[in-house]
Amino acid sequence: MMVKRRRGWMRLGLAAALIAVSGCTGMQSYLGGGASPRQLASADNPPPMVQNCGIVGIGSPTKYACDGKVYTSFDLLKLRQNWEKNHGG
Amino acid sequence: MRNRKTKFTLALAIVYLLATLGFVQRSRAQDSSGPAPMLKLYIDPATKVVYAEPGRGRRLLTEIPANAMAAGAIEQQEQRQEIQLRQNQDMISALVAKNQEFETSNRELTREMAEVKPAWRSYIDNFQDKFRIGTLIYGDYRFYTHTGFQPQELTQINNPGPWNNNYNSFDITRTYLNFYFFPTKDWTIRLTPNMYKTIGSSNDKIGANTGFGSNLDGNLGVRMKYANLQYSALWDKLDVPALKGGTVILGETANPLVGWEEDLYGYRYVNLTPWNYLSLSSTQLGVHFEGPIKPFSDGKTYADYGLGVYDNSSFHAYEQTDTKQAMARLSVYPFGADWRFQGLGLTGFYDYGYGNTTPDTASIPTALKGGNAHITRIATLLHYTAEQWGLAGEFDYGNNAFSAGNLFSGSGPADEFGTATGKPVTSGPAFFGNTCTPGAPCSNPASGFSSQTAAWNALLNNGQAREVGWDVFGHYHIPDTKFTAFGMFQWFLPNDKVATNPLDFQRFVVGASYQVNEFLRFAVDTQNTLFYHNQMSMSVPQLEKFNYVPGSKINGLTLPKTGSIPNLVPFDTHSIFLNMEFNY
Repeated sequence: MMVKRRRGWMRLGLAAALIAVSGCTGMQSYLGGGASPRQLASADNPPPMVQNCGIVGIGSPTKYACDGKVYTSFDLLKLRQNWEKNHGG
Repeated sequence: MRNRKTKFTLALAIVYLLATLGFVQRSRAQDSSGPAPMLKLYIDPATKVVYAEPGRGRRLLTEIPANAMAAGAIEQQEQRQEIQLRQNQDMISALVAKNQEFETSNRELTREMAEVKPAWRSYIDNFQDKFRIGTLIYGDYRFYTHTGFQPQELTQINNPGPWNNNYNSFDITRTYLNFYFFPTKDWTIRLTPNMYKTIGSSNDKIGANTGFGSNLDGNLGVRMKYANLQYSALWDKLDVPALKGGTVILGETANPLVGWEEDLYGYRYVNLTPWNYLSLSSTQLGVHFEGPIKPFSDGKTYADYGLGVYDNSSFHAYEQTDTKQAMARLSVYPFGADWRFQGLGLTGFYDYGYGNTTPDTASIPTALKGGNAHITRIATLLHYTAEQWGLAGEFDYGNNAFSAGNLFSGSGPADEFGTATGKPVTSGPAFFGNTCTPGAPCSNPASGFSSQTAAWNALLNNGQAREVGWDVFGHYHIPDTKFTAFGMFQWFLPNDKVATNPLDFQRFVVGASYQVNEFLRFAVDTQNTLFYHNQMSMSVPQLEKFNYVPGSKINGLTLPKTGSIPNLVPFDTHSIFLNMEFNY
């Protein structure tokens, strides 16, 4: 009786483990094979826009801080134009 | 060309050989077909010459069967033809091989020519790496609901004084052409011509009877704003890693405070920063050091500095002194900054110099030194900067750092600049302690600004003035828009040794900017100067404690010896500005 019960628990545990593994696998595939949502989003997100950046230095060229990085006005222009080109803008 | 010639030669040779081969083939065909051919000979009876072909006047001489000719001769002929054939085939093979060789050679030559860049191309490529040009333009439209005497809101703009409400103007206040030249990795040369609005008139008398009129008011002139040589490898050479990135600048350059604070504020195209508004020029001539301090290996900036020794004069004045002024600024970022200004910062600035006066004038003994006195400017700032907003508080302290010339840099009474205003008193009984005649007119405190100008100069230009000020400025980007709200408040006591100084003022600027693209911004804002004390008078004994001399003259008018000078609080000013910045 005890053995049967133990086997039952073992079967239940095995089934739960299988479900957990398959669930994780499914989640993995849902996440795109390991890429984070942030990575997925960044491919389609617009680049930093000058109006959202802080001024670091006014000059030729002016420098801006965007998302922790420093860009020149020319860098931002190029990023924006490339993005608009790729998105039919 | 060479290739075409080769091909043509080859074609000729092939045609020749084919013709030869054809002839041989024909000869051989004739030999092997039909009855034996006959050789016919003809003779011209007149000349007795024998021919192998018929012709006019020729008669058939004889017919000889070809096979009657010696077989050995035919064989010899065939052998010769065979040899000739082989030679021709060898020649064709040689020419084909030669042609292939030429074609290979031509391909290599074409490839080599494509790789070889002309000398001018190399020069241009090299030059563009060593040269950069940029431009900066500030412009505005301004409308004054209330005009008055005041400092300049922006470089070289002026406005009429009191009773000129609704004055308005379009202005260009800055047009930099930034030329940077990098002759080597460590050296940079910067040249920046800048437009400015000139003020000045002088009519010349030429000879006995001729005069030339001249008025430069409002002309857009050009002067050098920056002209300097920068060296960026000092700390690399001295092997001080914490100071790497620092530069040494020789020549005409931004001083340690103003340029730095303009970047911190971010709205220089709208209005001047506090000490720049009061008196400190943005640009000095001298020796200057600046750079970041990165003491740790995390790459963050924990401090940055600017210091140097400069002329006492500004960049647009002639240096008259035998002394120089020294300035230093240190900004500390206690939590480290990944980019300039990031996070919390504490900044201290100190400037010590002298009035721009020649040594012989400065050495004349006087009770009060006035404009010859030393000048001190101190600023301490607490600031926090994020990408979307920034806020700064500033405390200012100075000595002799705000003259009447500074107060009236934007607009001032004509008396300050050599022309008496108001209706002088020329007769009557004693007037403010003076006897007034047409030959010795008296300043009338109730008319014009001559007495007031003398009093204002006494309060500010006495050599013992002490300035105190407080400022707050900042900006906030409105999320998901191209708009940013910004503002500055300045409270300034031009001489706090005066119990109630009629010249104490507050200034505030509030506005919104619109970022059109990476290079262009517009702003709409209001700029105001508030001389906030109630209208007041000061007695002659009160003014005497400063630099007022009773009975002295201003522009030929005798100043009051007794009584009080009224209306010493200047008019407030209120204006609306539309500003534009283009920076490339």
